[in-house]
Formats: sequence, structure tokens, C-alpha cells
Amino acid sequence: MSAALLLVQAAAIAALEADHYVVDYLPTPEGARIEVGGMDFLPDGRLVVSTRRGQVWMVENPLAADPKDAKFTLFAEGLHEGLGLEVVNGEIYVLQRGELSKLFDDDGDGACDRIDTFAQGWGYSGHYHEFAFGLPRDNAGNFYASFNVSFGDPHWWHGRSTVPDRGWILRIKPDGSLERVASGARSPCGLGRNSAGDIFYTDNQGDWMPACPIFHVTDGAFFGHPAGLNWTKEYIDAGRTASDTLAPEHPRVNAAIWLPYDWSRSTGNLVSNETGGKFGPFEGQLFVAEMTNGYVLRADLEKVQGQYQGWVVPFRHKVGSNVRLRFAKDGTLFCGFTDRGWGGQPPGDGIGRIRMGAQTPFEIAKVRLAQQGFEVSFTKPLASEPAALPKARVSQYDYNYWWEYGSPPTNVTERTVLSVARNSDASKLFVHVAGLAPGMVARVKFEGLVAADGSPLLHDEFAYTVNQLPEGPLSKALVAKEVVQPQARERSDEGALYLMRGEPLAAWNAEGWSVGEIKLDPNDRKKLIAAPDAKPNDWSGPAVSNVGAEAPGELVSKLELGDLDFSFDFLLPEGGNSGLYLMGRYEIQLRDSGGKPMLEPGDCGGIYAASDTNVWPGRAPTFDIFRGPGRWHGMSGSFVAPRFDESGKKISNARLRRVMVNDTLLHEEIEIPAPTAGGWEGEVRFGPLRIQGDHGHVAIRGLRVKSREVAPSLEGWTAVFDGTSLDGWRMSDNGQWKVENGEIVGSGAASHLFSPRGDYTNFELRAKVRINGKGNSGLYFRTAFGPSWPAGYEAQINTSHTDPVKTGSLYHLALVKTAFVPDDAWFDYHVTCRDEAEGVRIQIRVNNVPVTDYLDRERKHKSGHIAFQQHHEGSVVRFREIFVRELP
Amino acid sequence: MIQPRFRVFAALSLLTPLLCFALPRASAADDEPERDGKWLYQRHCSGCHNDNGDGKGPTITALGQQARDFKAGGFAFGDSREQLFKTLTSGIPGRSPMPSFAGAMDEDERWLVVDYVRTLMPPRKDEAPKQTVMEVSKRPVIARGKLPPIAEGARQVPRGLLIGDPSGMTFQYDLDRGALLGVRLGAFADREDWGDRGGAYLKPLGKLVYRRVDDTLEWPVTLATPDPKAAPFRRVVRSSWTHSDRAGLDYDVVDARGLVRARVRESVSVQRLSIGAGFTRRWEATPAQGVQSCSFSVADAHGQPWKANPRAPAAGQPARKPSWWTCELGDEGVELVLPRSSQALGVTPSEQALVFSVFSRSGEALVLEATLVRAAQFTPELGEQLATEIGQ
Repeated sequence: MSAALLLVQAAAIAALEADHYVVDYLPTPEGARIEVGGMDFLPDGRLVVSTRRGQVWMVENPLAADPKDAKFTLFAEGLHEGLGLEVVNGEIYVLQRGELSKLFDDDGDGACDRIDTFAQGWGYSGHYHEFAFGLPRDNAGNFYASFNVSFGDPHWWHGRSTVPDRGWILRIKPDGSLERVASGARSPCGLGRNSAGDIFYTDNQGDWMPACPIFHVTDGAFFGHPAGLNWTKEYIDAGRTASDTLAPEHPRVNAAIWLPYDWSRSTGNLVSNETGGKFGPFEGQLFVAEMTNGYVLRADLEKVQGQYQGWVVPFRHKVGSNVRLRFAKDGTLFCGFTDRGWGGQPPGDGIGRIRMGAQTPFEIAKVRLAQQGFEVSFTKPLASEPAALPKARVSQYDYNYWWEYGSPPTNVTERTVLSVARNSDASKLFVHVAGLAPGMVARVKFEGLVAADGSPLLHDEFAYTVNQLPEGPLSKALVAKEVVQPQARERSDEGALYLMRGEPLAAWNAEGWSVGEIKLDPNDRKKLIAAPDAKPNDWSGPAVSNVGAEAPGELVSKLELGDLDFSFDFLLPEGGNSGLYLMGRYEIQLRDSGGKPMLEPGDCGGIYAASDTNVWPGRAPTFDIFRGPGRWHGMSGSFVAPRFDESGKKISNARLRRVMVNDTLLHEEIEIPAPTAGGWEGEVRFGPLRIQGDHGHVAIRGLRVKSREVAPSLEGWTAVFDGTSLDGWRMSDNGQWKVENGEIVGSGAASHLFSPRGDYTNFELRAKVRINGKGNSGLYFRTAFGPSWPAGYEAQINTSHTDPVKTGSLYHLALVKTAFVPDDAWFDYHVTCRDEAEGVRIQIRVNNVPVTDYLDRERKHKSGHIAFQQHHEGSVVRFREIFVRELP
Repeated sequence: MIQPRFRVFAALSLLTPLLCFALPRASAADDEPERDGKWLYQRHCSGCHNDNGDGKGPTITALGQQARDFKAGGFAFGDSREQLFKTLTSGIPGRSPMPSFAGAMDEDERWLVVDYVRTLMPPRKDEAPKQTVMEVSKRPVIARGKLPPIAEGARQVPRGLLIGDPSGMTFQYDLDRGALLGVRLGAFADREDWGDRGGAYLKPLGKLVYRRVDDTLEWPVTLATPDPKAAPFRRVVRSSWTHSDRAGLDYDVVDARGLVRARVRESVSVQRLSIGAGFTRRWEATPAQGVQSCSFSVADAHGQPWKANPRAPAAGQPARKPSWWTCELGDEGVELVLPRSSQALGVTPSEQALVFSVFSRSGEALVLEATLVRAAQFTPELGEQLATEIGQ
């Protein structure tokens, strides 16, 4: 169906809806943009509206028959947003970003002149996405508020919780104290309560939220977004932060309702219809605000096997950018609009009203789940002629629980409808379905359903979230199913070298350093101790630290690096002090320096001063970024080494292009004219990384670099492989070698593939190589054709095979035990082999960084083929862009 | 426009540049004039989004889909320059076919495309600057929001508060700590956070004329029988208010155990004097239940008590005549510093500032009013004269 036709249909439905429920709009004052964040009524009938712009408006005569008679006056301004509002005993409570406030008009002039803080203390770092939403109350008088996660930078699609309570629902008690209720929220824009007084919230599709759900808020529940787990005791004790891309093992609860994405793309709050029938036949049901399509949805819950689950159906199309709904006493449903920055259904601000029209609509009144189908009742009697017996189509689907932004419906399965039967008084249908499965959403669409008075069904489709069937054992299946996580969209580890994988300290001079998980010493917060029970993080690998030694030294990389990107995690005890020296010379501070009002170069993330501060005064970090002792912090950055002319005179200074801690940008384009205090003297073009270890305890993990040095041009090089055929290549043993998308792929049993030419002697060889996890291969040169393991030099290819000899090794001769390259990532392999006076000089570079330089004085191999190894069944190796340049 | 009576401030004000990031921006692309935003758009984007931006380009149509219609407005990931740049750079993860263009275009080129795409959008309802600027007319105005760092090296203040006085003076507070960070002169504030999706700064527009320089201690009220274990005290803001021509904050002084020791009402106002204008902070401290009494003590920036340690009058006694001191201003600036640190409000080096204080009682509450005014040329006679002016 074309988009245009869909639009026409939607317009037609809106017209039909208008026969039963009429929408009108209150004219707002000239020049005002009333982006509604909260609405409630004062005892005198006035409507109070708080807005995203921190204003509070009073609306007199909000129920006037003619909307022009509703009058807006500005009551308060200058608030820090107001995305929740509730009137309690005539007092106005507004939820600002950083506090829940009560507004007063002490002098009675109609304008607010005092704002009292009722509750405060939740985390707010200043990130734009850290909204505070509210604000229903339960039967005990507690308020509920919900707190968005922030987003990473530059990984803005990963939700983060960098300060307490982000990703949580909090209870605000009548004395103003806060209590954490439940975590795992992502963008919990709407809270509401049902007629029983239970609290529910809506979330918005994104990472770990495959669609927009409605969750029942219960103490200790975890809804699914991992970021908020950072503030659980479990994570704090372990010094752990949630992964962006790995599913947490924390048990999740099911959503009571998953809203189909075509009905709700951006969900606001929900309200319970307790108007005593003034809003028509849907007493006790929930109405849900939706911004993008401008829907109001209708939902209803039942308890099945003790837990809420239920169904949803569209109610009214194209009303406006609904974010907040509220019922007035007379049964008018007020709709508050906000679309700011997201793009919603116009109007994007202001207030609409939905009121019952003259005719009762023919609608689904109620759905009840049975073991083998659905009992559906309607607002009008059904036509009773046998010929009019309607049809029903039922399909079920679930979702992927993953870090990607949203999920399509998955495992979409048509269910067989065995029968559709009417009850005796023609008020209900029973849809008998075969194979209804728990842990899936069922979407049910009627065809040809007509009321006794001839009206067609206004909304003929509902979606029921079947968490549990009414009978039988409790199902453990979740609708959002954990799946193999997709590969990072931007393979940021391609081209990188991991310096602490494999044997974590093999690439370092590390006197006094050891490998093992670390935590804050519970008896002395100024120290770290080993945490032998803790598991290393999969994504970072194990931690290394200096806690085991009396007088530990520094951690100095064996690799010499020039321009590079770097990233790693660090953890410090109270008062901890360490630093990363780039090239051993330019220090970025790692330090417990939280909570200081004025930051200095010596604070966390600062660039340290030179010993002569006139030469370089250092640079304070832009933000106070230290989260606390015993917590992991992520640091990343980009560095440019100084440049020298031929005489060795410096022609450009070292430069930090970018430094970030916890995804917060601290520095950009900072030139450092001299080594900082404590840095090695004398500036150079290439140098090692160096981490301070003699100023107290520190732990590091996941250190990774990516060379930004310009790779040598391939001009003048000869392709060894033409990208399409293996003509002239020879295979030993019974291997499987084939060409696929310009790649040579080796798999199957052990074998070797030899180049057509067999006389390569002095040369440089480059190839892009990729190997799977647990795979093993090698790039042979000066090798002779033959069965089994051939004679010749072998540059090893191994990321995570049990063989400790890793990529970058010259097998048997120069061993690399650091797993520099991750599984399944393409890397650049560059081998130089030439006869010199003393022997055969062999140099190996991985991703443009020299890792091995070996002189074979025995001159073991004189010349020969280039060959690729297939090591064992299960290993898959790929080579492409294979070039050689012969040397004199 | 700075009014004449504030000439002294304007002349002496220390202009501390606000920290700002170097954002990438579009280059003019001079050498290849044809590679402009339109050219790049047609090369990289129009296959899906079409030449006119309606999202019905041939490539996407062939796939049976439709791309984002720029002409209709509404962007899932935001329509600001920065948001569009991010989308163009990273692509849209998930189901969308929108790829990353980071490899296909360099940063400058992506900014050019962003700017071109914005010409295809319907006119934005962006506020004209005057609509986001808050002004102060007859009564003080309070605005809350995230404040930018007050100076390089300072941090942003997620929960900030500005009090705008009709005279053109703005008092800048950190709400989380109940601390006055600085005083400005000029226009009030720009609600930049009204744009996009929020989260931008509430940007004060006035020029900084005083800034606190020593922030380790804040609290001017000490307790008669302090329990050393109860220190340090912190302030917890409980209210902000504007009553007739005054505005201020109420806060609790809370000890280390979480017990409220005193409730303080702090307000600020402009003090017009014959040599120019200064400002007055007024503290009204009421001891909490169980606390015998409060007192104020005054010390210099280094925690040393003043020579003349002022004492409050006994209950029922009239206020003392204003007393005054001069402060020699060092590199960092010094001024009214109430006990061991607190109200350090920076003044331009090599100036002199006069501090006048008035103690009185109001019922249970002890009141301190302190006025800070600057004078380039200070004489004892001038001090006496201003003390008399303030006393009136």
C-alpha cells in the first residue's frame, strides 16, 4: 500500500472518529509557545499547565463550550523545565529538572512569587536528555518521577547513566525524601496510575527498548535498559558500569503492554478514565498520549497469573503532538502538546480537548485472554444474522532485546483462527486461536464486523501482549528476547591495537604491576585491593594494577607510537593520583578530584603543567568529571606527536586533538610546547605510553590505541592476488581455499596456499587479514611448497586461539603474547624481509605499528613463495589487498 | 546599554571570557567552488532524499521505501545543525537504510550538506533572539537553569539560579550549594535552552563585575556552641522568592549528621551610593530548635579574623552604626569574606573595595547586611561618608 493511500485512510478514520469524539483547541496567547509538560486542575476549576520552557500558565474557563472563552494568564516563569504537574489540596507541585517544587502566590496578585523545594537530590549532570518526568501519586500519597538516561558522545545512540538515578523511577514520599523504586528505564516520558492506584510508566523505543512499552512499576523491577544498573548495590560494590553493547544478566520484567510501533513511535503519559461514564463506554481504561502520529491510544489491563498484561487499540488519530493527557471532571480529555526538536504531529504546542460527540461509537469495549483465544466485547450489540459472522486474523510476534535502536517485530507467525463465535445475546465474540504462545504480542484484526445497527467497527484491530496464558505453568519467556548482539555499527576497533589482551602485561615494562580484578578496599578507601571473585569485563579484558607491590614502578609500553587515538578505563582509590604520559612526556591527570568548584590542571582529566609554568601553564579540565573512588572511568583521546626537521629541530609542537572522560569532552586542540612536569626530557617523534604507578594505587583496563600515522602509499607495489581468481596458486594437502568478494578465504582441514611465484627474496609484503575467534593462521614467506607445515618464516595470525603466540609474532623466533587484534576485525599486516650484512632482517607491523624487529643471524630461509596457512577445522582466515614490493 | 550610574562598574569590570568549544564549522571551500553543499547533496543524498528533498529519490523508490521528507520537517534525531551533523556522520542505527557519510565526506563537507539540507526544510519556528531573551522590568526576576562556567576552568552549574534586579544587576547562584558565584551588570539572560531539545544554557548576558575567588567555605553563620564533629556544614536551598523589590533564597544550614542547625534567608539588592552602586547581601539567620544561638564571624580570605571582630547587638538594642573596612586586593581579588572563606567575590586586582556591615536583630533572627562597593581612590573620609549613606 502506498504511503499516500495510507494517509488518505488515516484521514478518513479521523473523520469517522470525529463523529463520536470531537477535538477542539484552546487558542493560546499571541507569541506564547505552550509546550505542555504537565497539567492539572485547581479546586476552583482552573487548569494549571507547566511547560518545557519553565512557565506555568493558568487557564480560566478551560471547559467553556467555545474554546475562545478559555483565558490564559502567565502564573510563573523562569523554572528549569516543568515536565510534571500535580495539584494536591489546592497546592501546585511542579517537577523541575533538579527538584520537585511547590509554587505559591504569597501576595495574591495572581503571579507566583515563591518556589519552595519539596524534594531534590537526584543526579543531574547537565546533559540535555536528562529530563525529569512525572508526576502521579499512589494511594499512600507518594509521588513518582522518572529520570532519563543521557547519551554518549560521540556514540549518541548508547544511553548512559553517568550520575545517580538516571534510568530510574523514584518514589517521593510525603516528607520529601527519595526512594529508588525500579531501574532500567530509557526515556520514561510518561507516568500514570490505573484505577486501582498502581503506577505505570511508558518508555520510548531506542537502545534496549525494541518498541514503546507500558511497564507496571514495582519495587526492584528492572525494565531492560542497562545504564541505570550502575546505581544498584551489585554494580557499585563491584565497581562495575553497564556495558553499551552486552546484555546485562540482571533479570528483567515483562512490559504489561508493548505498543505496536506503527501506533506509537513516541509515547507520553497515560491516564485512567475515572469519569463515571462521562467519557462514554470506556470507564476504567487507560488513555495513552502519542506524539509522532498524534494518536491517543486506548489500553486496558487485566491480571493474568497475578501480573498485569493487556491490550491496546487506537482511539483518536492526528490530534497533535500529544505528550500529556488529563481528564477533567466533566469527562473532557485534555491533550497537552510538545514536539520540540523531535518532530511530531502538528500542532506541536498548545492544548486540545477531546469530548464525547452525539453518537456512541461501535468499538471494542473489552478484551479478555482465554487459554485458547480472546473474548471480545463491544460497545453495541452485534449483527446477529449468521451471514454476518466476522472473520479474524491473528498473528504473534516478539522483539529483539539488543543495543540497536529499536527492533522490528521478529518471529512473526500467523496463528490459525479455529472459529469466531458469538455469545447468545450477541454482545461478545470468542476468537478461538490455535497455538497462542506466551511471551509474544498477538495482533488481532477483524474483518466484516458490523453492529446490529449497521455501523462498521471503528477500530478493527487490537494488540494484546501475552506474557502469560491464564492457565498452566508460569512462562519465563519475555517478549523482548535476548539475541546475539549486533556488531558495533561503527567498527571502532578496526585498525586498533589492544595492548592489554592475551597476556595483559606482555606488551609492557611493568615492574610491580599485576593482572586481576580490583576494587576499593572496604577498610581503607585510600587503597585498592584485589577482587578475586570478580569477573573481568568481556569488552575490556582483565584489569591490571599496582596494588600487589610495595614500591611499584611505572607501566611503560614496549611499543613506540607517534600520532594515535587512545582509550582505556581507570579506577582510583580515594585521593588517588596517577597519570597517562603520552610518549612518556605529556601527562593527562588521572586523579580523585571530584567536587571542586574551580578546576586546575592537576585535576582529573587536566593536562599537567610543565615544570616551568611560563613555558606551559597546563590546562584545567572543562568539567568536573571524577565520579568517585572505586568507580571505573573511561578516558579517550587523540594525540599528535611533535614534528622535527632534518636537523632535528622541532617544527611543530605535540598536540592533544581531543580528550574525553566518560564521554565528556574536556579538551580540544591543545598544543603542548614542552614535556609536562615529571615527563621525560627531550622530545621525540615516536615514544611509548607511560602510566604513573608510584603515586599510589591505580587500576587500568582495556587500553587500546589506533595509529594515526600515515600508512605508506601502495604506489609502485605489485598485486600478488588479482581479487578474482586463484590461477597459478597451489594448495597443499586437502584444504578449502576459495575467492569470495575479492578475498581469499581459507577454511576446513589444515593446508597451505602458495603464491604462483616462488622466488621472493628481499621484499615488503602487505595484506589485509581477518581471522575468526579461536582461529589460527599464518602468513609465510621465503617458504617452500610442500605438505604439512612448510619450511619458511611465518608471521603468525592468531587473535584468541589457545596458542599463546599471537598476531605479530615471527613464529619460533620472536614471540608476541599480547592479543593486539580483536577477533573478526580486519587488520593491516606489513612484513619487511631483507638480507643484511649480519643476517636476515624481518620487521612486522600490525595496523601500521612496528611490533617485531628480528635479525636472523642463521639465515634460516633464503627465498621462496608467499603462503597462507589454514591451521585447523573451524578456523576461518581471510586475506585481501595483498601487495608486494621487491627490494634490492 | 549601561546606565551612567554604573559607570564605575563598567570601567573596572573584569571581563572573563566564557569557556567555549571550538565547534567545527563549514569552510568556504574556495578552491573548488562547485563542491558546495548543493553539489555534495546531489552527489550523496538525492538518490534517496531526491533533489527537492521530498524523500522520493530513485534509489530509495527502487527499494520500495521512502526516505525522510525534508520538506515536511520533523527529524527523528533532531533538526538542529549539530543533530543533523551527527546523523550524517553516524547514520541511523537500526532499521533505517541511512548510512554513515563519515567516510564519504570530510567534516567540512558534511557541514556544508547540513546547511544545504536546512534550506530544504520548512521555515523553523526558531525563536527570534528577542523571544528567548528574558528581561527584568519593575520587579526582580528569578530564572533557574543550567549555567555556563563562570570563567575558564570553572565548571558548568547544572542547577543554577539568576536573580535579575531592575537596576541591571544579576546575581548568579549555584542552587546545589546555595552559593553566590558572581554578580553581573547588563542585560539579564538568554534562555538558549528553549531551542532544540533543551539542555542548553540559561545564559546570563551581563558582564561579570564580581566573582568569588575562594570557595572552600561558604558559611557566614557560626553556632554558639559548635560541635566540631558536626562540621562541615552545608547549605540546602529550600526556597526562592521575589517579594516586592527584593529577591532571595532561603536555605537550611545542615551539619554533617544531616541535622538542620539554622534557617537562613538571604537576599540581594543594589545599593546606590554617591560614588556609584554596590550591592548588599542580607542574611537573616534563625537558629533551629535545639541550637542556642547563631552568630556571624568575619575573616579574611585566608581564614584570619578581622582586626575588629564585629559583634551583634543584644536583643532589643538598635543596630550598630555601619562599620567598614578596606580590602587590599591581591592578584586573586579579595573582598567580603565571611568566616574563613565564604563570600569571596572577585574584584579587579589593584583596586580597593569597601565592605560595610550592619548587624541587627529581627525577632529570633540575627541579621547581617554587608555592602560591597568599589572605589578607585579610597580615603578614610570617603569611608565615613559612605558608612553614613548606608546607615540611612
